Amino acid sequence: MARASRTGTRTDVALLGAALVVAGAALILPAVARGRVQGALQSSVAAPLVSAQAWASRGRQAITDHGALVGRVDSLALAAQQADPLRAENDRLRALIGLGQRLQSGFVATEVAHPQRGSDEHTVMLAAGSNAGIRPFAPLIVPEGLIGMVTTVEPNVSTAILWTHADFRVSATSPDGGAFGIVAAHLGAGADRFLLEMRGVPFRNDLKPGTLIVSSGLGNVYPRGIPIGVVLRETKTIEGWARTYLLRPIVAPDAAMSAMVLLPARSAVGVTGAWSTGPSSDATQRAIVAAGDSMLADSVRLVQARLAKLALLDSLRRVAIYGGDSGVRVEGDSVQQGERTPSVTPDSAAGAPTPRVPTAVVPRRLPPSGGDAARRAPAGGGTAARADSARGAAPRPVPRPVPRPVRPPTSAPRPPSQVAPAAAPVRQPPPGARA
Amino acid sequence: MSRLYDWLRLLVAVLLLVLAHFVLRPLIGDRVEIDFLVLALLLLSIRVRPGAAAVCGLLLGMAGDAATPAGFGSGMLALTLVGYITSWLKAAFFAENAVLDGVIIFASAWGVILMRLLLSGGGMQAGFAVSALVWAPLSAAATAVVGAVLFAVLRPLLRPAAS
Repeated sequence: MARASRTGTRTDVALLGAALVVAGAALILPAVARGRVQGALQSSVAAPLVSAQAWASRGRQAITDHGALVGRVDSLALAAQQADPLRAENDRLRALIGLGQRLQSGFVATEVAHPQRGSDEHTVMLAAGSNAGIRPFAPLIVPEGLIGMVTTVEPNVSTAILWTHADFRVSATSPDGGAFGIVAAHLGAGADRFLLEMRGVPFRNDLKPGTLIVSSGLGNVYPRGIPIGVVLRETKTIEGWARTYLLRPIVAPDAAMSAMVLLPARSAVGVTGAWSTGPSSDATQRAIVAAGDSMLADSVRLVQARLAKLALLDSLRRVAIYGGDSGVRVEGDSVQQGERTPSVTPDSAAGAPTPRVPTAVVPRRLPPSGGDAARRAPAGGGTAARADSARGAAPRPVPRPVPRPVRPPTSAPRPPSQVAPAAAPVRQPPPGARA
Repeated sequence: MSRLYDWLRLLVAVLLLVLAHFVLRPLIGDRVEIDFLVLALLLLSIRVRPGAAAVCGLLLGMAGDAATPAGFGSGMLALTLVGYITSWLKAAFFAENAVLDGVIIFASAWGVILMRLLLSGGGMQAGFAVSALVWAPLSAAATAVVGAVLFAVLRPLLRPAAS
């Protein structure tokens, strides 16, 4: 028994020694040889164990990274949610840059601060003011078209009303100039509140749904050609003398975060080509209209000369009747008559019953409303002088033209609606004045 | 037959512990690790003689070192010594005393970790003291707790059948 125990002890010691030798040899092996032995073990006997350990390590890594991955996924989802608005804003800013390149000059790009919910949603603040050249009644435009009008201006900020504002008005026309009207907010209930309506379109003009409506340029506030909306349908109104059309606005009121304000000089020059409302055909139409305008201008010039001649004869007749005591006044009258521009004539011819104004208060420069009113007044009425205006704004100091009864020329003059366009080139509104 | 069955049960238990070492250990801990190889070796060493326990320690250490990037051979040496010593102290095991089992497991596991640290060149590193005196005892304690519970559960199953 004791012998067996001793034998066992020797065997144990021998096995222990052998194991220690192997372990020691593994420890003192050069790094390269140790790596080879380790690699051989990993690829043979210990391969399942190593694979299991690698799998477990990946599992633990997945568990550990789960929170971080969820956070990253959430961040990416948030970023993805923000991507669409950012992309849309990027597109809008690109479009704004494109509009700026087409306009080239005469505008101020500004940020638009929309009011908070509950306050006046139809008025916005602009991050530019008179220091940047902005003046009241300047058009507020975006790449799509007209969005509003500046109402008040401070050195560094401005206030503008959007087209949804109840006081917003713009003289509008179809791109071919066939139908004129005044566009204002529809003021309907529900979703119709955000539609526009084009009032005062003569019955002879029928606008098809889908027709683009642009600013007409009348009134010297909005230059011609700024897209406003698209005709949806005709709507019934209590007024029986003209048509009213519902328009789908070309610009969503809350869409613009950046916009451009047209400076007065640019508004006077016009925005031709900034919006392609009808590519080549529109340009052709414009050329035709321009040619027609020049012909009309020639005709008006002839009428003007004839009127001046008649006025001179009238003055001479009065001199002959009253003698030399009224010479100065007669001379002034004559001069005044001679300086009258044809835009006055249609207004008088339209039958507006205005009192005679002393010569001394007659402005030598004609107000813009004269031509506008004459241009758009119905042939027999002269009832509504449609022009761009902001209802409720400060009263406009527009002097009335001299309401002199003028003897009609022997040859029948053109109707006012035809004569008026020729007056457009000579209109020179005072700064800041509206029609 | 019953003897073979006993060895088979033991072998299955050891294999499960070895598998747990490579599968569960990476999942469970980061700094505090449970050394299932030490538990498997202790489970074997109570059934075999010290020489065989040393060889088992060498093989288990080889398996552990094969999957360890650094210190190849340190695990072999440590487990060889632990196997031999604990086989000598087999009377302490299955002594119906879980605390004593725990102390033996704790000492074995801490010794293995210390030897691995020293033999794999960890003694030269700055964090050796923290590893040897903080994380190694914590890992050994975790191993001891798990081992004590495991031995208590496995004792009826691994008790040799009466011949």
